[in-house]
Amino acid sequence: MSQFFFAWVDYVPTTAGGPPPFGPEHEVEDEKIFSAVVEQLEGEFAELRIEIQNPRVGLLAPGRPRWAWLGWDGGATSGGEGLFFGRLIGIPDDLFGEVITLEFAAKPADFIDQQTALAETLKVLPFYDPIFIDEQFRDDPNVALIGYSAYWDINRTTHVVTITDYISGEEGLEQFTADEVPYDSLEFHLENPPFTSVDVEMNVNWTQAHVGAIDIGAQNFVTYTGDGIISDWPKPGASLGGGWAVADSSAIDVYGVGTAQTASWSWTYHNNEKTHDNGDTLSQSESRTQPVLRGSSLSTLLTDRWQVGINDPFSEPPINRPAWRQSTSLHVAKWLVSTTLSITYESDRKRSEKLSFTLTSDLQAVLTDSDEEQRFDEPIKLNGADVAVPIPDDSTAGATAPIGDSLSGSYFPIDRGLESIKYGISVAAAKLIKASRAGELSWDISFERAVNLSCRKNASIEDDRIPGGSASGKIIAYSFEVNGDERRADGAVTIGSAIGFGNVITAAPGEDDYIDDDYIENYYERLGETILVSVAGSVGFSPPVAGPNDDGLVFPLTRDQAVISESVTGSLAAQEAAINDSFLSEIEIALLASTPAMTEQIAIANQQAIANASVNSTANALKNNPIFYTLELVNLTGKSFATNYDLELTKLTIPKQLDLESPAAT
Amino acid sequence: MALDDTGTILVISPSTGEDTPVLAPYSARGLTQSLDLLPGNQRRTINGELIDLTPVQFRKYVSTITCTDQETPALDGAYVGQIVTVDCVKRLKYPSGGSPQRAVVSGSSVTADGFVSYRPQLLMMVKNINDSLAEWDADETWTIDLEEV
Repeated sequence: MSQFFFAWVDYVPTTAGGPPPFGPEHEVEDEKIFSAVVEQLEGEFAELRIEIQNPRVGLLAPGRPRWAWLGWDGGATSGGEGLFFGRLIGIPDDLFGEVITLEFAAKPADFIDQQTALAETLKVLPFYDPIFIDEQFRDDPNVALIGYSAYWDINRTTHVVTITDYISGEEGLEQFTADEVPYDSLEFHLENPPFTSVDVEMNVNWTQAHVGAIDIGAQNFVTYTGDGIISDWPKPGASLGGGWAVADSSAIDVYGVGTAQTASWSWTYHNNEKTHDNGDTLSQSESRTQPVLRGSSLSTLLTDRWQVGINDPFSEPPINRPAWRQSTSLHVAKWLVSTTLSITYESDRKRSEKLSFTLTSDLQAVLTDSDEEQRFDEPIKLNGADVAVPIPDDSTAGATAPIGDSLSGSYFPIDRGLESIKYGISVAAAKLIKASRAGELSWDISFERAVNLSCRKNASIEDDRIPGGSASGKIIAYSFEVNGDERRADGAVTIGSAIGFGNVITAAPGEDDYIDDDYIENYYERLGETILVSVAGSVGFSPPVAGPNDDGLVFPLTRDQAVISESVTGSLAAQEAAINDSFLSEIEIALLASTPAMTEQIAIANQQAIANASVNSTANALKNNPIFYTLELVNLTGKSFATNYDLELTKLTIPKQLDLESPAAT
Repeated sequence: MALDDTGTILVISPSTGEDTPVLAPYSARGLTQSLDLLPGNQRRTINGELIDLTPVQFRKYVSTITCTDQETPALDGAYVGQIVTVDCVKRLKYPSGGSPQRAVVSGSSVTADGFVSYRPQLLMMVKNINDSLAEWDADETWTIDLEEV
């Protein structure tokens, strides 16, 4: 004869372990129970409701135990068995009645700790990808479960927290035959047409940051405008724009034109003879000043005036006119400018990739119009963090950036990116797998069978009314109840049956095709490959082919990539021609400037003539005929590149736990 | 009214100020009175034990008095809910040395064979009155249902 036990337990949760095991000390009847019901839904704590005689005491008074064991001996002669251990949930509503109902929940005292610890073990690729988990939620245990097609499960007697698959229970199959199930108790419910597809969009971004240097090299410029090159040559540290700056540079005036000095010399002659003949030169002096140039130059005589000396003491009046000569010249020096230039760059290119796909589950038709897909109303959007920034990971020594090298032009096609794709597929698959349990069957069972059930088991039932004669599925709810007034002890179970076809996807290796490591390190393209994602069903996808939508730059940059164009404009010959052409104007200017005007009108006219001649001056000739160097560099800043991938997938295969396409057995 | 007037030793006395219900001559000969306990609240536990949950204050009597005679009792003006005192004809008994659980109709205690029996005097409420006449038989049949207050 079965006997039920109820024991209040003065349980103080400790970090050492779970609830006290059911033992002889609990084979008591601390309360007279008129009815007891234990129910558990998948993902929920098991609950116990008991009707007892109102003890007329404060159930939550300090010092009163709040935990309790419900057990029974199952008709066995030795030892009892715990059926439920839980904590009293508040005070009953019917506090004044002769009979009150107490509710207990089998929620472990250390539930959060267990859940958190288990969640840490679940944080593995491809079922958990921290890239797509907002940092503020990374410690949420429920977030760790998103990529799994599983629920949390809490054992109602041991309080051990585990996870259990939506479709395949971890603790075996409970089989029920038709003759052990009350005929009228079998019920079948088909969920509204289940969702069969879901859209997914995954976004990642990173900054292609790189610092490097390029030596533009040394050059020599021969020009008559070397001062311009020297003054304009970019100085070390100067910013060139577009992410470029001067690391080091020099522009050297090889001939020293800019610092050229003038040299002066003079020559003097005195005739010291005591007697002279007519025509003798008595004295003469000459001086000259001109620039000292190491290189060549173009020059012209501008003015040349002289006076013959006459010394005639006998003329009336006596003439003593010294001889003199005065001339001016113009020199245009040729420069040799030797330059060097090395530049640095700092690239800051924003990259983004969007991967889109629609995952469809392979389910038996439920609608008459089988072409109509039932799509989840809201697409799954997984926005990722910056994949070039290391994600703090407590389980590894040091943090690494998911993309590895931020210079990579692609993310999703690389090995780590494929893991992210698998994560996205896992998240989508979890939704579809849960939705695939469209068939719900429930039936009554004996109390003895019911106490052995859990939401970590599957159950099957044979009945000719079921299409195919039988169905199986994951236990999604069960209960057992004993009622003294009704002299009844029984149970019930509900299963969720997946309505797939049970097909199998096989992986395909594809053919290797290598991409230059300089472009994407350690990446190789596998043409025609199908990669399997291991979920309760199975699904395969073809890895995306790297096809970054960018300007083709590969870091570190080479001179050829960096330089768009470089050129020298102008020529020495053109300069020399212009300079020579200008000399006549300079001579005219010099003559006009050195000739005193006799009248004001002449002075005005001279000034006007000088102005006119200045248009073609040597200065203007140099100004209008410069030689300059142009270097055009690729712009590395302010650019962003977005690449879109559309992923190809197989259908998500789902087990066939209920065969809707089979006629009921006769 | 006494036995020689009404034909019964059962007496129904209305409250002060009320005249009915009372038994009249030729209305109560051969009456039957039942004295039952008010149903309680019992529940059976999951281990099969039957537990009484009835509070002590609910241990009351229910009585049905029924008779067929030639006349009807004085029921005019009687009403359901009316408080009456009933000197019961149905006896209660307890072991000698004990004490009666109800008021004793004066002079009704009898000791015999180690037991004491007595006629309880109960304060009761009229729960229902049925009164009918079989015309040709001239049979007045009446029933009064009472519950101890």
